[in-house]
Amino acid sequence: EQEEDQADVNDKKVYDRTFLMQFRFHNTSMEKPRDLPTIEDIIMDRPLPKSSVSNAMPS
Amino acid sequence: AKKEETPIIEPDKYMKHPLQCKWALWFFKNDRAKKWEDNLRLVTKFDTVEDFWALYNHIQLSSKLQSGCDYNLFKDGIQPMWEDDANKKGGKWMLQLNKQQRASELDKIWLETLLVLIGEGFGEDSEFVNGGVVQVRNKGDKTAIWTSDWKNKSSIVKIGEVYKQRLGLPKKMSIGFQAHEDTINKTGSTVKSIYHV
Repeated sequence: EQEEDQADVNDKKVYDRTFLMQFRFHNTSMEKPRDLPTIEDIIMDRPLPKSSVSNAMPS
Repeated sequence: AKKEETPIIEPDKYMKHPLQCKWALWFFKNDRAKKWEDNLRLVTKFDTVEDFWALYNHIQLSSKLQSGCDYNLFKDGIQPMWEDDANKKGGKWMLQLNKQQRASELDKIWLETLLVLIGEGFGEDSEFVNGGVVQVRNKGDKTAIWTSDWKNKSSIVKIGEVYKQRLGLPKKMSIGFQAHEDTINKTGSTVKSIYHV
């Protein structure tokens, strides 16, 4: 299982880029966290549209 | 009579992927009418992969922030400032971007910075990593990895090498590490870098 492959010998939770990226648009990742403060500059009610973000590495 | 409640199992609680550390995201906005500390606000803390993405998906991209704003991601318990005990003797690997890179690169670079931090990408040297910073500035944006103990050369250099590699920076491009104490005590506009990778 992929998850187990991610853990190193010391049982440290090491996750590489590919592993982390697969959860980006998961259902739970698209729900707005309940405890966010009101900061108009940054907090959004709806998730960033997928089209606005790229999966590419920096070049 | 009140209907007896059956405990609801929340599958997400069991399925979310725990991170090694709990992280706190801070937002800084440069408002000269306020004191520095009042411009720095804790946004939230998280300790799972899914909670990280839920936060990331609901906050503005760095490239859309006003000049003078920062995001800071630090391990829970470490304040994103030099004065914190964990940072006092530390420093930072800093990447200075040019103005054109805000549109093309800034968001990608900051996301890679976040992923290498929360995924413990620095391996054994992760214990010396305190957090990461993105600073949006008209004269050129910056990202940085903050560490403790600048004297620990071998770990600091390895952290810099990993950061550079994860950002996909070309080998010939060099990034520098500066001790916070040199930044605080600087006399001119430039701070010398102690290490380069």
